Amino acid sequence: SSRCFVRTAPLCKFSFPTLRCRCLSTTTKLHKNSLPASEKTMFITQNCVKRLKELSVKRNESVMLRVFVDPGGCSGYRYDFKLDTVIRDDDIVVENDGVAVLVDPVSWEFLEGATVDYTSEMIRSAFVVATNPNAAAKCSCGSSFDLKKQKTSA
Amino acid sequence: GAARRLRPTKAILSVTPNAAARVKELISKKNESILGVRIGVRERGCSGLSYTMNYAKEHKKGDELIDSLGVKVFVDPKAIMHLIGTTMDFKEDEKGSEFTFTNPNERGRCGCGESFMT
Repeated sequence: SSRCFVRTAPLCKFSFPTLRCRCLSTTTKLHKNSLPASEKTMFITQNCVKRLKELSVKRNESVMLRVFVDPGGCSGYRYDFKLDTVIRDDDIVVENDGVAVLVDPVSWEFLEGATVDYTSEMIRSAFVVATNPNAAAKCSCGSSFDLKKQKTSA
Repeated sequence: GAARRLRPTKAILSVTPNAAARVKELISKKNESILGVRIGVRERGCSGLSYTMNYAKEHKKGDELIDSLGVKVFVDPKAIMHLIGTTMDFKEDEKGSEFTFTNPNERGRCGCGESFMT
């Protein structure tokens, strides 16, 4: 029952983590691509929250996760991640439990409604996009995907 | 007579100090008695194969044992021919951590690097 906060950066007067954000309750409905067009959100799992908090403590500053989409991979597009401390003017900021995920507007079209997770397996620990309602097909390794519909800005 | 069994003379797998340290760390966190780790390949990914890693509780028949830097690495018999000469390393940064395999048998690799072909 985690709460999810969403706000686009230009509206935020305060720097992270004191962003004042609109609260959206996370229901199962948010997992599907069935939100009204005005609702912009993304899921951040507890593992992802935990990892970002650990990194923030380690670095002694608020570490945010930037998720973006690049052309590449065997399915056409691939996800990439970067740790960031600066919110850009046009960023979309998704906040959960005090940590923030940043998405640029172009990537947002590919990522709206997606779930960002941090997986810890024996062979690999990494940030991943666990589910993405915009993806029609994905590479079996999960880092590359194809879109359901062609995006105009792509 | 019995079928001659060919064994490669090249080292099947070498383990870097980073990888050995990580394997020790992983095993030390387990309460069960673990001998080491088992490396294999399975059919997955767009390039055909990907590496697998599990805890090894026993020395299974046919496993190739690499005892290096204080850790035991068992190589699944089905994976041996794909892995000969591979170096297993462990890389860690803030974005995550992973075991990497530098494999001279690889002819191609998926863009994300998670699957390969030999």
